[in-house]
Amino acid sequence: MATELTFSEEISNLLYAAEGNPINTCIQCGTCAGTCPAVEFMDHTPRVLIGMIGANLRDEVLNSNTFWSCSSCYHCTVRCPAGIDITGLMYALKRYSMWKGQYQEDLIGPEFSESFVKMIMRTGRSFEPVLAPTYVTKYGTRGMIEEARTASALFLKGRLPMLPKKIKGIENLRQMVKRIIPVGGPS
Amino acid sequence: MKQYAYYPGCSLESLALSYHQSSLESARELGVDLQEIEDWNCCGATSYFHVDELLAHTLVARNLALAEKEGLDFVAPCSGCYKNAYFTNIHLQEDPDLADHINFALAADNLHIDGTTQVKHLIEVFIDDVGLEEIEKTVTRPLKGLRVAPYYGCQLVRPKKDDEDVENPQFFEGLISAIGADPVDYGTKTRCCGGSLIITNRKAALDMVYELLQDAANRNTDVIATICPMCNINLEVYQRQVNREYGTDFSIPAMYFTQLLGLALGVAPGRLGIGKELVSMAPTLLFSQSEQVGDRAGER
Repeated sequence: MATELTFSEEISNLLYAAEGNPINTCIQCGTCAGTCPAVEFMDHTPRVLIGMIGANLRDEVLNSNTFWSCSSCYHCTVRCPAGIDITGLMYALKRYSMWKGQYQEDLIGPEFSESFVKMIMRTGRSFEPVLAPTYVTKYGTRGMIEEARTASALFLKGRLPMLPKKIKGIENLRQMVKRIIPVGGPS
Repeated sequence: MKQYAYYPGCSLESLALSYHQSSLESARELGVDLQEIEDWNCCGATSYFHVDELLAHTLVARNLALAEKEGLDFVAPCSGCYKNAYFTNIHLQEDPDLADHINFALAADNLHIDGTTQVKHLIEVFIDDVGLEEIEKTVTRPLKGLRVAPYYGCQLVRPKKDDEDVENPQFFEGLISAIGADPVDYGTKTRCCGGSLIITNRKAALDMVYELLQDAANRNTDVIATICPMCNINLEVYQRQVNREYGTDFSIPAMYFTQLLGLALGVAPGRLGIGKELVSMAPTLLFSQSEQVGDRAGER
């Protein structure tokens, strides 16, 4: 009979090319927390979060904003004395929380990532103006005005093209994606 | 003339157009032939890796396969694209199962990847393949007296590759010296600019940009040199917002290293996309133009 995986094992299985469970090798030294440039905007430091994963506190971990505040700068990864790819771990948590649809409501990250992927499946390239509506409304009035000012300044400098480019091979790119994930493609 | 498969990446078509222009201009001056990969697609940036790692590697692999077909090394001016391409390439070389899986997908477009191409950042092409000595020899308008802060950011030097120095790299300083400017020694040169948090967590990203600008300002920096469109956009486009949030008065231009290099090689500012910025680069131009009557220019 198959034994059920713990939360910590589930997350560890999402880490590319990891042997054993790297989360268990954490010595709780706090080098990651001391290095992280975004730590003061996280509700738990990376050190605490890793401890929470080790303790299988699934819901508390998924409801944390920590991994969605990670900018993927790999500073913690290169300094971790236990050799844990902490940035890779944050990526794994983002993917897991998106699959499970469980994350803090007010976060922009999950929705933005989803729109981004859909955009690539439509055109093959990234184009900022298409993405803007997915997040600007969450900025509040002042933030939206600020954003509009920035956009018009960039437009006047010729840095914002009006139309997205579509790659010629977009159909083949979609076929490729379907070979990886049969349900892939734009929705 | 050495040829490369050039992968500009999405930002260089819009917000970072001047990086594209200045990359091509300085490459030409240095005898480097950048052949743009035909019909390249987005590398997935960071967001795609939030959703599915295997799909993200597939997106990257399509571009690598297109470069391989031409038999050329892959070069990216964007650190994010570079990091994705570099590591996907390594994973494909070292993991036959992954390579099989991805090659099955690539076959839908008659493409195949063997892992024979090498992935380089544009700055590596200039420093390692052209060489600092050659650059120094080719410079006609050294930017004497200009204090330039080399901003490495994240993804060019991290994750760690081979035996590279991730704590205190020095190659960018070497390039700044080679074009006659003075590299500024400051502590935050490899600290993150916030990346895409500028969209998903504006408050955190502005704080990260503020830290960088403050450190550069404390060291009397004339200009911050960048090697990535994301870093440049955060430092430059959002500088005004930082000033408003923090009550500061920063006015430090952020320039792509290729713009500074181009100026030193005598390329006209307009051809380097100078003038498209929101924080004026005009003070920097004075340094290069004053050299027109200098000793080196006189030799020509």
